Amino acid sequence: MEFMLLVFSLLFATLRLATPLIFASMGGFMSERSGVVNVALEGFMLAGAFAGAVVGYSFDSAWLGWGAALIAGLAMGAFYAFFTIELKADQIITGMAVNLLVMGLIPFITKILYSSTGSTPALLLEDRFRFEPMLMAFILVTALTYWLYKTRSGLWLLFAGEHPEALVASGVSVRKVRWAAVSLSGVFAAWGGTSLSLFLASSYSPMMTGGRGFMALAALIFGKWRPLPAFLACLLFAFADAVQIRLQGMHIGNFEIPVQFIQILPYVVTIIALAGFIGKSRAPKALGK
Amino acid sequence: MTIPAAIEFKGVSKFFGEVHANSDVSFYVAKGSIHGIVGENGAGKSTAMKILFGLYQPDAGQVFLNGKPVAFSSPIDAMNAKVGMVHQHFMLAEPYTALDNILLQQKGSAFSLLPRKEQKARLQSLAEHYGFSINLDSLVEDLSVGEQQRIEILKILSQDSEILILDEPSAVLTPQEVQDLFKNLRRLRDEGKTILIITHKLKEVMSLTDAVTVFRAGKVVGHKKTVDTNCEDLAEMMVGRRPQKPQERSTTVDEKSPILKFENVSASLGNHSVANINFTLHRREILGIAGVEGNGQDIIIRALLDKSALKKSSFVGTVTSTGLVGSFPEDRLRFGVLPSRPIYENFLLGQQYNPQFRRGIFLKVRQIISRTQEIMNAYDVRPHNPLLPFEKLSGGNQQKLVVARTLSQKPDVVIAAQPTRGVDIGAVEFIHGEIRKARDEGAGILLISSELDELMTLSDRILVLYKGKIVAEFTRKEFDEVALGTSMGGGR
Amino acid sequence: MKRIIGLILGLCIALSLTLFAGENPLNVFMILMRSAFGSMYDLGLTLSYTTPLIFCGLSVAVGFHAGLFNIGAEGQLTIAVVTAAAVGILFPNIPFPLAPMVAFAAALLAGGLWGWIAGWLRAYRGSHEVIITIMLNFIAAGLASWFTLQIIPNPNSQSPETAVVSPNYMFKDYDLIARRFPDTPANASLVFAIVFAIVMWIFLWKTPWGFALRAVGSNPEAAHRAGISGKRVQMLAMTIAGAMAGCVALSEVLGSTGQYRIGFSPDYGFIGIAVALLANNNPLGIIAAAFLMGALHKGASDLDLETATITRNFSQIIQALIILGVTAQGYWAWISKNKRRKN
Repeated sequence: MEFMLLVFSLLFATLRLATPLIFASMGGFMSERSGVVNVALEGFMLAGAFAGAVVGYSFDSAWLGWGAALIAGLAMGAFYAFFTIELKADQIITGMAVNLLVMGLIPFITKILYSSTGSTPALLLEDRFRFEPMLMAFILVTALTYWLYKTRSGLWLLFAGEHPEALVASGVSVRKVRWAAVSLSGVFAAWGGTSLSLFLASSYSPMMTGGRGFMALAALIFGKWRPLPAFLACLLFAFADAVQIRLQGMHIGNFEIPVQFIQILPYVVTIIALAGFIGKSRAPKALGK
Repeated sequence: MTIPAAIEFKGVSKFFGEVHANSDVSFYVAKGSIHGIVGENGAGKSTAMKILFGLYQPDAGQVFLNGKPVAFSSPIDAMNAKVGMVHQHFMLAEPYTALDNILLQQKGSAFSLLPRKEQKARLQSLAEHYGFSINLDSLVEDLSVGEQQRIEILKILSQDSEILILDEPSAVLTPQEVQDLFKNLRRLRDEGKTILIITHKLKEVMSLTDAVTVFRAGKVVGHKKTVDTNCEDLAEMMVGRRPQKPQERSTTVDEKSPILKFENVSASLGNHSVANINFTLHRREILGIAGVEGNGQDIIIRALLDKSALKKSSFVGTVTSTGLVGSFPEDRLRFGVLPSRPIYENFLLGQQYNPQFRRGIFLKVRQIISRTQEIMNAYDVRPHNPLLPFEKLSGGNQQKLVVARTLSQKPDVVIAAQPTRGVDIGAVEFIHGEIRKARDEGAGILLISSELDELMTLSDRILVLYKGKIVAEFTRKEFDEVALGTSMGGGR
Repeated sequence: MKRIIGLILGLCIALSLTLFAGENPLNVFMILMRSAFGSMYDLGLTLSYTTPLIFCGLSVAVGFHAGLFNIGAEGQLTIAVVTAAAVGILFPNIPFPLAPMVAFAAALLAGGLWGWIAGWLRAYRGSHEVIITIMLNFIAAGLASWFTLQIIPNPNSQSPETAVVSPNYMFKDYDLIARRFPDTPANASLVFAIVFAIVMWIFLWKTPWGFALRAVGSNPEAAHRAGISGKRVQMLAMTIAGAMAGCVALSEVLGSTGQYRIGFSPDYGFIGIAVALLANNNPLGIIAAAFLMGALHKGASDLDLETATITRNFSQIIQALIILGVTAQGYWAWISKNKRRKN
């Protein structure tokens, strides 16, 4: 009985923790499938988490915070799109710069708004999300899968990343497809960010993503750039995270496992996942070009 | 004329900076004919076709379709005017089905569902009408090159195009597939379609077209009915002079000194393989390996140069070679050079550990540069500046440098893979001359090529590779284009 | 030249952001300058930031030359610094000239190993080095924290830091630079950094192995045909990168504090990316770029005190905008394209 309870709580924790990863991973999916490498997911998530927490707190409403986060994500995505698509800047370097910019901007803004360095005030417990983001994550993955394989614009996305010349020859602007995809990538990742600050927690705290943007990217690669497998990979990483939280303070005999060993578990799992599967991880052909 | 020409160019010019890609180009194409557009690389034939297809806009002049002036600002305009193009590099994404690749170009709102079922039925019947056999549900990567080309043509036909432009359509096909293609094209012409075919293979022009326009240096230099001309005339118009006739060789093969031996070699790479390859190359011999690309040439090259790239367990047999092995890679930009680096570093590539260029642990950079300069002068690689990034050279000069790098090391065995791909006739003659010179000086040369003309002018013997096996061997006096072509296509 | 314009552009945009915080950009700029170069003390601190930034810049640059993006300098230097401190604490009796050498060698090994892991995974498992090195950064932080707090904590302090190594590990007594800048962490490792930059330049441009490394970065398939093993080069490059980042142990442990303090690095590894980029991965340029970024970082550290609303994090904004300004060289083409469109 107790064991069942443990399993159940672990599964529930996995689903909760997977939510931000899933959104970010779908964000990465949009961008990378369109041919734009996206290591800026971390920054997009931070921006979303922050914007959501600020607006959510100001209006005592998680939903308003959520809306604001999507707008912030759209802006960040468009910013990234402008640099990578219009100015053709190196995608990885630009992505890292965007991350750095967000990390610098947030304390800059909190100082102006709240005279604090980084954190935002917390929402009331009853104002934050209870389960909605989890549900939305499942809906998003299902909808994206259906859209990708069944509709015309889904085909456009696939071709933008695989054979952009063919898309041009068909009269569709690769530029526009990528702009849309990368902007949406910002929206989805920011959505993941709000699920951190308004669902798993009730405020923004510095660096609260803790590398989840990169794990989401790893999940996407692990899932071979497909929505459903990437979703499953997110569950795997979230499970490692859930186990990590559960294991803290555990003893093996008289030996207490150092908490740091447990904390690095999700990162180790990510590396093993990326290293363990070899061969057929075919990236979209025009990715990064 | 009573019937307006299907296509007419009047005084069309196109400039790229200082380069006059097309200057004052005028010609017409009769409706319901097959029209050849010939010329060397860079002669402007592709530019003209891209203007017709809306990829470029002319800086001067006018294009007419059926007597009406048109100005396409994009391929979409061209397609709407029923002009379609099969590009040399297919516009097909490999991991998706043939059907999806065709559906991509149909218009429709972004969020409409793809009408896969209906379109499949329609396309299937269209394909049957023209006698194409195609499985629309297979992934493009599983299709042969010929099948992929048929999909490209079907793509155009499904738009009810009246004018088809084909860019070097036979470059990647087996002789048999070429025959099939020509049969299909003639049938399309008989149904009233107008077909333009860009090519540099004059024999094909003679056998397929009704009329031909010759480009040289951005200008139209000739316009003939096919029946009124012949290969030699066309070649002379293309080059501007009679091509030199190669003189017969004055040396003979050293039958007693083998320098490269393949004995019962079998190996595989990716999803293809070679089996039971046996041959011997001697000093002062050019041994041709004929075959359409993808029949195992890459495995033979790797068996010699880079065994580790082959599947480990798959390699059996022995390869023995004597002395230094040098090579011209089959795809120079991919396998041969560092495009963004200076020319002298490209010259150094592969010789970086050579004591000649080292003092202790250091490279003698100044000496490398001056040696590169010497070589560039000797092999006439222009411009003579070793500090220039490699990619700034023209295709012909790039290949000359690659040839110079290899041959200047005086190798005993030379693997010459597609040595004249994508270079102009002047450079072809030069490179062929250098290959002969290396042979006369004692090297053995393995010439891997898909160009029959090249193989037949250079080789002392030709082996034909088909589906990973050597299916035929010809000695110089047995060379015969038809027989060679047939065995390249797997026929007897 | 375009890089310098990009740099100035990035800096200007960053400074104009301070308007939102109600500050005068010019004033902020003056604070930055004064705080970076205002006195020998300030200059000493600037130089003490410059040194690790040279190491990290070299680390990132050597990766770039081999076609790899090393975001793991932070983790590599963390592991190396902890290792150096651990050697100093666990073997207190090694005599002077030998002791710092042993500790330094251990740090190089540890940093190199941490880089090698990413190189190996990239070469033999095809795992993308960007994600791997970032994960390794987190892992390094975790391991360092455990080692510091559980194994060799400082018994005399509540701060999260290791104990101090014995004095025979420090080269303070012979340190001319440290004498010049009293009371600052600036030390002779700056000279090492400059020497390493020169050696790196010679290695990359004047030796066949450096050529091989750059060839792999430029076109791996062609390098392979030319008899250069891409896998070996990738591992070598990441190992060198890790060892370079590991040199931070020299300036931090052996040259100044004698210990590892959690959070001592203001993300040197990340700033190193900006340094390498600014210098176009040229090892000699990295010296100048590191000095510039070091000055910016030191300058920003006084913003907390001297302005009402701007914090030291402002340096991250400046760095990010400088990176963007320098990377996005496409704006020249973009502006001229739009001009043409208008005409």
